[in-house]
Amino acid sequence: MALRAGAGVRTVIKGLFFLLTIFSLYSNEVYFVPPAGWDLINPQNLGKRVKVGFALKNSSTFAPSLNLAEEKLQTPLSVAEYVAAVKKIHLSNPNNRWRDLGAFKSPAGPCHLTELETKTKWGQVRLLQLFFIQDKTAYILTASALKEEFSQFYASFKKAFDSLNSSSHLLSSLPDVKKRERLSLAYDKLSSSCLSHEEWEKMVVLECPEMGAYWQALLIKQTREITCKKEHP
Amino acid sequence: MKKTYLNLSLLLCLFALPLHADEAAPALEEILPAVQEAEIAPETPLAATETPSPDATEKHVGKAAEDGSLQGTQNDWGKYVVAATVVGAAITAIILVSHK
Repeated sequence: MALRAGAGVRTVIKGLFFLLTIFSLYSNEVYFVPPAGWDLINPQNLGKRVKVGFALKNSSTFAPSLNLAEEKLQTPLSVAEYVAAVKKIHLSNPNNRWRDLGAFKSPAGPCHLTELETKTKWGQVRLLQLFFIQDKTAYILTASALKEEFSQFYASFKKAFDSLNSSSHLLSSLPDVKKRERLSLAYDKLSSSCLSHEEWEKMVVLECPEMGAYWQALLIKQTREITCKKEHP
Repeated sequence: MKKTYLNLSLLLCLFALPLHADEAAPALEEILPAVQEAEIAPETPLAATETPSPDATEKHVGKAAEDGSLQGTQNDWGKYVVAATVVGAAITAIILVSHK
């Protein structure tokens, strides 16, 4: 009897450890949805703090692009303080013209929008930067295009900015309820080994094109990490 | 669909995660450096030359925004995307074969 009770307690403790592992793996992810048809920039060519970038290959001399950069902060800072530091950096270059465009609401939370114009060998380039701070990390979504072409891409940039989101459980951020239920069901099947990783990943790609490649990759990464942790604790 | 796979394959390279925890990991690691050396190394990426050294950057706040804007003023995506597509195609092939 006592032995059976001991085994029960061990099972409960194991279960709790497993749950804790799962929850600790659900780290917060900040993502955005790039415009459809834009190409992923080779990760090898991204700057040190740039997590992901997309560009539109067009006939223009300068390809418009969007990238998401991240900076871990040593001390907690507000968005306004971070933006003040950025302003200093940008205005130290006499070729730059910088403007504060004020507060911006995104699904991730309160953000701040700024504009930068700078001279390059391709001409005057305009950049919009959206700043968001969460858990002592600054996230910067940068959109850029030639100044004279900027208005052509404004709607795409605005849509990408409006998609900036933060989630510790990516599946729950899927706006389509039916899809969310279908994928949650599939995820349960994956967890109980009734569905292969290949099938799961195919499903994520085929069912959620509206979430963009970055969200899809983050979700696949998250599930692979959980599986690896389960298989090799 | 094909393009989504290309983009996704590249992103998974970024995360350096194995397709299958045990078997496929070495294959990715073997393929990637070889293709990238051939396609990318001769053209030193601007990011590598323009990003300030870590010593200079760690002391200040706001450098990620600078990195983001530097990235945004580069215009060599054409060749990099082409090179990336080669890498992506190789990995896509692995994914598709592994699905069979």
